[in-house]
Amino acid sequence: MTSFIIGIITIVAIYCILVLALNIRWGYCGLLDFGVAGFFLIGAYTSAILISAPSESYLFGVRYTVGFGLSWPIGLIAAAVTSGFLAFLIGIPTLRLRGDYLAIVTIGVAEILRYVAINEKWLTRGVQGIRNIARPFESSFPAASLASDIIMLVLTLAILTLFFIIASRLFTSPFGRVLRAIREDEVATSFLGKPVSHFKMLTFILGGIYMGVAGALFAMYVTAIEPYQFIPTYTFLMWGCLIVGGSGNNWGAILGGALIMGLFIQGTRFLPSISGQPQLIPALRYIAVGILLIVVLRLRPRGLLPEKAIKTEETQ
Amino acid sequence: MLKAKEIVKDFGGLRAINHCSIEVEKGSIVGLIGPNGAGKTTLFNVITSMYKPDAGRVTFKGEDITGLRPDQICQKGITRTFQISRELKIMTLLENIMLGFKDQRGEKIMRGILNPASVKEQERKNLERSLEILEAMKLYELRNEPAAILSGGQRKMLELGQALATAPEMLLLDEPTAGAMAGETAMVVSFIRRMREEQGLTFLIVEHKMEVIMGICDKIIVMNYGEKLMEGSAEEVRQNEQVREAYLGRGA
Repeated sequence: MTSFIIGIITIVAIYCILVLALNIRWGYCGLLDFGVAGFFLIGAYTSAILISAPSESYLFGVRYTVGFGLSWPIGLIAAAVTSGFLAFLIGIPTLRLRGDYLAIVTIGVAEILRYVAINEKWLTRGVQGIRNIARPFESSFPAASLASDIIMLVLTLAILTLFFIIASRLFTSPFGRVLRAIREDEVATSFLGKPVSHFKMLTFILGGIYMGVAGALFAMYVTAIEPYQFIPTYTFLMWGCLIVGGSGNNWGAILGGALIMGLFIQGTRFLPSISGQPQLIPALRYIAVGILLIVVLRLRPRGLLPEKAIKTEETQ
Repeated sequence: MLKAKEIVKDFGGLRAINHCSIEVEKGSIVGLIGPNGAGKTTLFNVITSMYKPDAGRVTFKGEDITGLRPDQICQKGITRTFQISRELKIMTLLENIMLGFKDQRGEKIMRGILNPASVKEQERKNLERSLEILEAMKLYELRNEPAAILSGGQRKMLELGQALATAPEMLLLDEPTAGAMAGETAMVVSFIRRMREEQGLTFLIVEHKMEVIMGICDKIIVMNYGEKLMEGSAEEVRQNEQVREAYLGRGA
């Protein structure tokens, strides 16, 4: 049971990093990002490929060359770099345009990446997925042990805390002030001498780095990844978390993540199946999330923990 | 100081500005008037690079600034306000003003996160200056309120304050008293005068209220159908037959 609870906290904390990243992009700067799952995927696959043990095997006639056997910190950093770079590439053509173009391109790229992961079997092993991904300190603490779970939990919470502090400091900084101004009125902000595209690009890349690191942690935690774990549903679940928790508020992002990913998605795993229908609970989960969204939007349209106005004098 | 030469701007088949040239001398207050649709705001938008002109050049202090990005125009020393004010509604008045300052160290992402003493010190200075500006705008009491609560005239004042925070050499004001009540209009007018006297700022102002324009401008440029009809002092404009026709139509 302990390891179940540790597992749930770890996975929810990983998703909370995604919600936090979405909050930086959307909550701070108003960037309409529908590609969360894509950045998560690129981070997960990058680190999985880099830290898996080298292997050359044949499966159904396809030769797989997965694995470089590198250490986990390199996996984490590489995930941050590739995901940040992906954000940079997507940002070049889209960030100068209106918000809806970014939305279309991000969801498109996320789906393309998932299909690449399905089809480029030599690199990703396709729908078989990459298995036996090494966890930190695996030689001393094997993946199935409680110690290994605790190591993953501590690592994840440490990174979540660090990311939370960075995001919060950024929010009240002059940089964050420009982001909030861009969110409200891009044109007016540019006429006040702020290079808007530059600020949007940095924000988009920072979000990408967060999501990439979340992906790397996810790969290490579950030790087996496959394309199905990165369907667009997860992008929209992250949006649900942010809207329920309170867009523009980092505590809200965490609360939303804990509530939806923890209570509704993970927490309902242990419910007994209803009258022998194993499909019922997973379906009801999404209905429950939908109802929660409607109720919150009706009663607290700005989320459970709405964005706080910044009293500049007090931050001095 | 500011010169726009032979500006042409087309929107599809419509020529909004037709070979229009204007010049604004340093330290002067120049008014831009004309009937609705004369191209005044379009000319503003060309000067501040919201639009690219189809022909013509804009120079500022002898430097060609045609086609720079709006933020670069602002960095060069030209700040504008809008006909329909574009204050940032969710942000507080204080934040609106604080946003305006140039070269903020904390706007670099790493320094924003680390918040070193150099950033804090600059923020403190900017805060002091912001409070001064808000005081001058008679908005001090509302400093921690979101800008959305302001009245039309107060919004114009806030926008003016925000523009001042950018430490401009020249201000382009698009109808600075639109939506302002009589008392507020007087305040805007006296403010413009004071800024010119105290800081030597240069102004180009689009305005429909003739008493405002006639009262403060050294020179008035009249536009009609995208062209410059005439320019001269308030008295010359008032006497001009063509101007009357443009505004009132040909007499019977």
